Amino acid sequence: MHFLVPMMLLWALPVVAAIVALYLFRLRRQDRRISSLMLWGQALREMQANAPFRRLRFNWLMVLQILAAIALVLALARPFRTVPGVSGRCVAVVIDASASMRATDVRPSRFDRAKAEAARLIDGLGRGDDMCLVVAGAPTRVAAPLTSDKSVLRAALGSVIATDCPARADEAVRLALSLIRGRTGGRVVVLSDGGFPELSAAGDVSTISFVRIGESDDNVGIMALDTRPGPDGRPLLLASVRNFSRVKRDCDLELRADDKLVDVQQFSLPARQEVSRVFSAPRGAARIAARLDIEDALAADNEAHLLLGAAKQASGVLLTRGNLFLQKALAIDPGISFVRSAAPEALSLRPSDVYVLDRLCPDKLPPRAGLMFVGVANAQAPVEVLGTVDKPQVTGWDRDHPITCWVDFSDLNIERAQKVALRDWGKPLVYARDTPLVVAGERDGARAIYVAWDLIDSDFVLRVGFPIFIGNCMRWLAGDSAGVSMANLRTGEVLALSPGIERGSVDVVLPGGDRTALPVRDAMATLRLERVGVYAAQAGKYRAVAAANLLDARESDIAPRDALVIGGKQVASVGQRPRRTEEYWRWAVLAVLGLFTLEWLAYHRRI
Amino acid sequence: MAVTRADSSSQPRGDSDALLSPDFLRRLERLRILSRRTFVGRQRGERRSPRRGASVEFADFRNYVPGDDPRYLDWNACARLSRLFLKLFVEEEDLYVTVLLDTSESMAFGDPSKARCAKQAAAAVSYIALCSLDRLFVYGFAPRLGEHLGPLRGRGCAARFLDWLGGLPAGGGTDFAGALKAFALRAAKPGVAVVISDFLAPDYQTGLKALMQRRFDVTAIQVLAPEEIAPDLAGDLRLVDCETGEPREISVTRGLLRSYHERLSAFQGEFRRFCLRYGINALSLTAADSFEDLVLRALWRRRLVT
Repeated sequence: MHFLVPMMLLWALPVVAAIVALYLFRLRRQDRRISSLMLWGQALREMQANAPFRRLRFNWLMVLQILAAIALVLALARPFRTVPGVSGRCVAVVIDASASMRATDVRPSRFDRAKAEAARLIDGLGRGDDMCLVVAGAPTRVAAPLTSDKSVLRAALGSVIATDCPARADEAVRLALSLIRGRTGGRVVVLSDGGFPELSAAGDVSTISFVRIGESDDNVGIMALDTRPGPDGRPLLLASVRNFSRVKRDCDLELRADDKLVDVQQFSLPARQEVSRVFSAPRGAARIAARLDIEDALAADNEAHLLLGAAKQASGVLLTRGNLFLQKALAIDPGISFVRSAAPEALSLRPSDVYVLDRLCPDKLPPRAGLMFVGVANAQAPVEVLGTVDKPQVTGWDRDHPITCWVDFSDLNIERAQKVALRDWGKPLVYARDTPLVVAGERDGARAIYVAWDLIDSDFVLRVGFPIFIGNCMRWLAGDSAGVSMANLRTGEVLALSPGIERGSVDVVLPGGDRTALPVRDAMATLRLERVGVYAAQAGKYRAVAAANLLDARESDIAPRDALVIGGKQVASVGQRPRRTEEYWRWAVLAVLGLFTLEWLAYHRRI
Repeated sequence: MAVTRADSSSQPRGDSDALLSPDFLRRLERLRILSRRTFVGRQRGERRSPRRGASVEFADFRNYVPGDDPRYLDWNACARLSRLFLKLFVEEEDLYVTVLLDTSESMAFGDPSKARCAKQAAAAVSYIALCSLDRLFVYGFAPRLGEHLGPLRGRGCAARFLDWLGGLPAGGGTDFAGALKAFALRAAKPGVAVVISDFLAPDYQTGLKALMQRRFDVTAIQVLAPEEIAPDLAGDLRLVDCETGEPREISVTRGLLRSYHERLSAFQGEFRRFCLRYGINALSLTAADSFEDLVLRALWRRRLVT
């Protein structure tokens, strides 16, 4: 038994002593005249004595009063015990659903252990307490909103599954903190192995409890699998394998080309060391699979897949003197890697798939590249600049075009725009009374987009639709480069499919052989790659293949962390199972009342 | 000797807070006090005396000596035995009946008080004695042998006796043995002695023994209050002895009450055993009992009256 205010226990001695003293020195008694004391005989001699300390005899009333006083002192000392659960009236439980949580060092897996722990927290939820479930996977999502309905929470918990994706703990913790913000007794419980970088402080760190899941660091994983052309025309494969455990491990790496075993190499991996090897793949092989033959805790990083001949990531150049909004918006699409430059002459040194020309424009640009002109135009633009127009008002836009769909241009405030005339291959997408504002066109296989105003001179960059608009532009300009038909991706990334149909569905074969149908909206279907393996999509004549690999050293390093680092502060683990203090002073108060009732009964029954 | 019925003019009034109701007095007139021994009386009466006298009841023969009344010679015996025998007859005298009533402070205890019950018992016994033409003495004793009334004889004294008895005050402590010893020394002749008290005195046996040594035919009537049989006490009290003023502090518990009842039973058992051993008629009354029926039944059962 523990006490929150143990000093209160010191009162027990003087209180008990006072009660005993009252019995010893209780001199004021009610006088009753009786005929004779003789009949009371020995009984009276037992009960009376002139010396105070000889007068104290066993008395149930005194015993009950002492017990009641002790119970009262115990209640004031606020006894408590620790029970499974977390303290707090409003609890946000963050469940790490990343790849490392699929480790089986705890049975059946870390993720199942985390779910069991979350179930225990749900069971221990007090009356009137609220709880929500936040899944830290890819993406972060709220599995159950704040509710006190345990059945809702259990159902939501049952639907949570682990993925092979990297963790997005920072987003999840921020989301959890925002959910409990302003709530009395708010607390965030993170059920994780802690395998993620330092989190940013977005709230009261003291309200965060970290429950460490996991026991072992026994893992060996593939960290890299890439290819380049060999001197003999055969593709060379580079494979890196790393031992994350603290003991030396030996393993075999099997290489399969188009499901045929082509090589097996033995790896002897010192503790926490990485070894790379180069292989030769058969000429004409399309699909390479590397698999580690080892018994370790995490299986997701024991295999990697590589599609030979898949398009590389599209490249782009942003020519600008500085536009932070545009830079951020361009960084959203993982399919295109942009390089920023302020020198137009440098474009010739860096051939790219897409060029974004923000108020800077060389006279001549590479042919067949996707071009986006922002507040500037040359001969390759779909417009011809005539002059300027002040404060143009948007009168309409094409809501069905892939560039302008999902974007709201109404009430757009533009300080000044170029007044242009359309070339014959240009198509106005957004237009004002006197001039088109956004024009797109395609000529000789080259696509170009023209935006008539300087983005900084409008409030468009502050709108939600701005990054959508930029994403639409990049996807349209990159064409087949971004809407891949064959791609090597990481788990957690989104596979965007352009099946060439406006509506319908795309059949996808998932790793493991399961099938799913992706709905197509506006000629596009998306799928988040949650499992390591090869995804095959088909819609009519359309075919697309993507390989998803973990290849994340932070996820493969499954050693459970003892603390989270949030905003520079350490949040130590509360152990495998969180415990909370449960006070039971109410029982002591009930005992006091019960003892006083007994004392009252004893007094009136003359016990 | 039969109890004669008194005429209405000589009966005591039935008011009084009257200790005894007229109906009850009429029932008492039919009774007489039994004595287990014969005692020498003072006047002719209706009780057998150890003396030989002139009653019609034959008692014995003795040899004739000159001077004897020749009317009592038994001529038939003289004819058969040729000797002169004188016939002796039982003498009938009055009986000394003494009622010793405890008037100490403790007798005022109880509701109804023990004193009233004791006075009623004394009145009943005394009235029976008066109606039987016995010689009645009534003593009150508290610390010492106090005022007394008597000798009284005949039903005509009943009213005076009852008034005196009703006004007998209760108070003071108890010197039970001293009072009875004093009476035993003072008594001119032994007779029936009825001691009415609560006997809540440690020396009551000494007092009763003093009476027995003077060859009294002793009857002990113990009167207890209902509060003494089942004390209505609770909590922490200071008990004060009403006679001595001695205080005792107690915390009334069930165990203490149980112990008290055990002590009371032991005391009453000891009282009965003592009386049985010394040939004393013992009778216990409770102040709350229906007095008249109880007294009549108890006196009858204990062979105090017939």
